[in-house]
Amino acid sequence: MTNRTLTAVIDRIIPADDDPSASQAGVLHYLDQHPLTGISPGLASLDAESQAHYSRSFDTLSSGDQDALLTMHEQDAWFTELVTLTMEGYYADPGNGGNRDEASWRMIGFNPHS
Amino acid sequence: MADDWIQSTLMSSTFTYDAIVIGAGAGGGVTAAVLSERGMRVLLLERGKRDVSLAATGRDHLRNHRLARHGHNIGPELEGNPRVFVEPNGATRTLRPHEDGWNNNAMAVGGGTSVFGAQAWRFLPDDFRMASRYGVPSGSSLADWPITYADLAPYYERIEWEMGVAANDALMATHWPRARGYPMPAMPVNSQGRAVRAGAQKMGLPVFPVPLLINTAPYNHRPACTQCSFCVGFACGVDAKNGTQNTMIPRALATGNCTLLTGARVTRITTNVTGVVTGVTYVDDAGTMHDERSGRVIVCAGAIETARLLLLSGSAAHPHGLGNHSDQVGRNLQGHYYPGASGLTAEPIWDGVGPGASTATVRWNHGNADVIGGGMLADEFILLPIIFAKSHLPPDLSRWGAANKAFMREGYRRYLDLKGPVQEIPSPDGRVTLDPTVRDALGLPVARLSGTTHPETVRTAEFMRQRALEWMVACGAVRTWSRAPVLRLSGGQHQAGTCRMGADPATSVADPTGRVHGHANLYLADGSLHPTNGGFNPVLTILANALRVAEGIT
Repeated sequence: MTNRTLTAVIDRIIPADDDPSASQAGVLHYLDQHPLTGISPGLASLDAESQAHYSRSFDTLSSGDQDALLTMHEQDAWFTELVTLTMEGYYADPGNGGNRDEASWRMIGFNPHS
Repeated sequence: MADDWIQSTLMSSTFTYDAIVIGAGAGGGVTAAVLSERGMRVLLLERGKRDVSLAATGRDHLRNHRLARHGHNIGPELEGNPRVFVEPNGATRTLRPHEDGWNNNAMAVGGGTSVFGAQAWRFLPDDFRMASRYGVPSGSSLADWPITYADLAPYYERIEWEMGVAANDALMATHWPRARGYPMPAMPVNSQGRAVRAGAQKMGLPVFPVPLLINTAPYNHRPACTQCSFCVGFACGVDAKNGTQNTMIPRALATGNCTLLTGARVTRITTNVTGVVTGVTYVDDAGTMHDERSGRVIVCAGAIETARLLLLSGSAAHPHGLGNHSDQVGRNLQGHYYPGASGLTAEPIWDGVGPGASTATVRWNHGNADVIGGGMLADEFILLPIIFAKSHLPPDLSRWGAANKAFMREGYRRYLDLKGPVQEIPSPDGRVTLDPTVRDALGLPVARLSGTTHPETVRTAEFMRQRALEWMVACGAVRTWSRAPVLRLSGGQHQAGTCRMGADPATSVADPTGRVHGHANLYLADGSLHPTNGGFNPVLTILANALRVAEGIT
């Protein structure tokens, strides 16, 4: 449940388009290395809000409804921390567990000279 | 009596070492080389690790000395080494070394020079006479250096040749007249550098290649730079970046006179009953305490830890710490404000060719109306993608979502960044003291950092930010953004000023030769000596001044 919510949230932080979403690029593997103790209660209450407003779990909402709910929480500490970690997992080196196949680097054109 | 003791100890052969140097960074590396090549038996004590090669330190994008949110690649250890930071509003935070506010500079053999960006700036003549040129603003401790640019110029030149600096002879000579050129030509420019040079030409701004302590040709038996994308914050993959770890310290060790101990933490500078310095106590990497006597002690631990060690070394004869009879140790902590401008070009220009930091101007270091001093401006090093994402995006861009991703995709290769260090106007309240309650792993009081720079620094930084924005517009940026400076304390990798040298013991810690006032055999040879810290990266000045101090040690 919370893991489905987590995946849904990070895929709104970095959504899929022509390039992979956060989860498609392996950000969950990066998050595995970090305790989400400050984030999990936020995810749980987000899901509860979704049930209250839409009678559906957060991960089954349309992306527009997901974004609308997240926008209400974008100043919350749990959300800003999850944004920070998701960006780290997506844009840092693959050695940290995310950025599978250097997907984000190919997307932005970072082709490092070694 | 004290002089008699000194005379007898300086002549003594009963000590294992003629000199103990604390810290194997920029200042300590130079000092160890000078003294051991002179034939002194030198003990060089370094708290960090010895192997700072790329193989040993890695290229973790989240744990390095450019981005340290989860740790760093070069010491100190994250646990057991807290500092306390006091916010301007009085709130205190106890921090680990990689956290904002701790103000780390790499602690290892080579110190900051093991992972630096290697900018090799001389200060300008007016940087040595800031108080005389501008007057002393109310509440500031602004002071002239007790030496002039001309005094330091020969030492700058020697460091440039002995360690290896690449620069443009003719263009550098227009600002720093010199008889002898540089040992290597300037670094070839990348595509971003060409864009900022074109912008400078459009506005009539004189610019030139950034001088670098990096080989652009084989030098000192090491190869030329390959212009990779990972310079600042990391060790060099081909060992073309010239720090003390691959120049001065190998020279010291080659004499056979220098013993380098790593993982060794000095806990105290020892004194006898009359207050004369007799040596140090230190804990080795196995945790064993040693009491090592020597006729000379030279402290090169960086501005924050040098001040802390003097404060930790009090005794009945020196109840407030060594050199602190005038309550000056730890005051005037300075680093650099880094105002700048970000800009988006119309078309992608990024080519990934390092190191970046290719093009600079010193047009605004001095002579600006209505502000004190100024600083150098240059383009930024190649940015890691995660650093771009964290701290270089426009302030009005959403931190998440489709728009953020689109900007990352379009913006990274269209990005320019101009920035530079502003000469700080020191305040005596920006300082290092010993924290009354927090202790490190050895049970010693940790450094407590409090106060701020003087408000004049903020005015100068804002002036420089506007100049950076003008230059960015001239570069053809279709969109610009930047952040206004706010009053705060600096330190970090450019930390300086906490044990300033001067002629008057009432207002300084060390005399003009780097010897601590009131002590015949205790010297400092790091950035702590700087009365002011220039509008430049300070490392070449630390290296040159250490060479001057070390050669004067008797």
